[in-house]
Amino acid sequence: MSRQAGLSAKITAHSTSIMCQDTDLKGDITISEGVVIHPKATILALGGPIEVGKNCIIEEGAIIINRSPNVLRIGEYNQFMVGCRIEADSIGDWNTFQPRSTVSAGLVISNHCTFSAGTTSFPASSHTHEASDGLQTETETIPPYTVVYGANSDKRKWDGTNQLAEQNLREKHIEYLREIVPKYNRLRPT
Amino acid sequence: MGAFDPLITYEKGTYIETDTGNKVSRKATITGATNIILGGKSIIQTGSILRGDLRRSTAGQHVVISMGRYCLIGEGSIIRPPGKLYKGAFTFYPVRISDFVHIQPNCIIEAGQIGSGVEIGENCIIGKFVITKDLAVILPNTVLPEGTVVPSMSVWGGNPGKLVDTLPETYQETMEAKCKSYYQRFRAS
Repeated sequence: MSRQAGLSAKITAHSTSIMCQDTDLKGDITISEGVVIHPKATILALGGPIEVGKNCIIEEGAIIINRSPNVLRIGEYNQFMVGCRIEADSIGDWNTFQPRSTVSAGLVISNHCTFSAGTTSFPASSHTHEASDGLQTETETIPPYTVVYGANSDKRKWDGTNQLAEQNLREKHIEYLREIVPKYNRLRPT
Repeated sequence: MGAFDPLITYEKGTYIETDTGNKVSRKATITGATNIILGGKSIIQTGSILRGDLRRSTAGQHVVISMGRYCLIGEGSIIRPPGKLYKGAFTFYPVRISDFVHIQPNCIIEAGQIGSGVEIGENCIIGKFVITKDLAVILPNTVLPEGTVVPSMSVWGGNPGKLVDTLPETYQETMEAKCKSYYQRFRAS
């Protein structure tokens, strides 16, 4: 904790967003409208700022870190589920990060991707450049509709079946959370 | 399980003991405590999270997490109710945990039902609406996807979780003895 002692939180949050009191937010963070942050979630803007787009859900134990000096932009309707750890360079819309999925730095995530429970994702280039002096600039873009699954974190494409149903579920989910979370949790003033 | 097993001690005052013998860590995050029922003689360890606030949408009293006797929620484990769309509206569904259930540290549980005598190993991820019948063993680091049904007397492991073994008929007594012994050994130093 001492490492981050000098880091003050500069949080800009939209009035319709819901942030629980029991969260760990550090650095320059912008929260857009409708975002729900559960208790015990962590967002650390250690390098550059983090911008969370509209209607994202950040559940307990989720960790979002930005160590690079650039802005980490997170799109709309993303769901960061329990215990996921995200250090990606940029995140598009409608992505799902399932429980305890890990996404390392150097990845650019487009839209509609799913990172299944317990998977780890890192840029392929980092295999070959492991010995380089940390000046790793290669990034890999995860194409839309990618699903990362299984023990070996294999990738395949989602054909978009039930996409409307999934999006409907996500919309209803966050709508319901906005109603229920403030009833039981103390919120940060927005 | 023998008489000479070492005690598991905690610093005095770090756990709250209720009338029914539940031991709940002060450092556990319990939201919506009015919606959680503990059967008695259950242990909730440090750093665990119980989401009792995620309740059904309809008005009135709802039990979100119900737990039987001699249960253990290990350090850093998270129990949260699963949610889905029902008749066009999103609702959460209750988590029912029976007696003699051991959940080891750092698990994420979104199950619908966990039967009695179930042991869930470390770092497991139990997906939404998973039904675990009585006397099952989930090995450490298992990932059970949404809606998995684990039959009784079976051992599951891997990612995604698969059936790997079955249990002997005497397992019920073994598990009950183990849970009781753990509760008795878990005391203030």
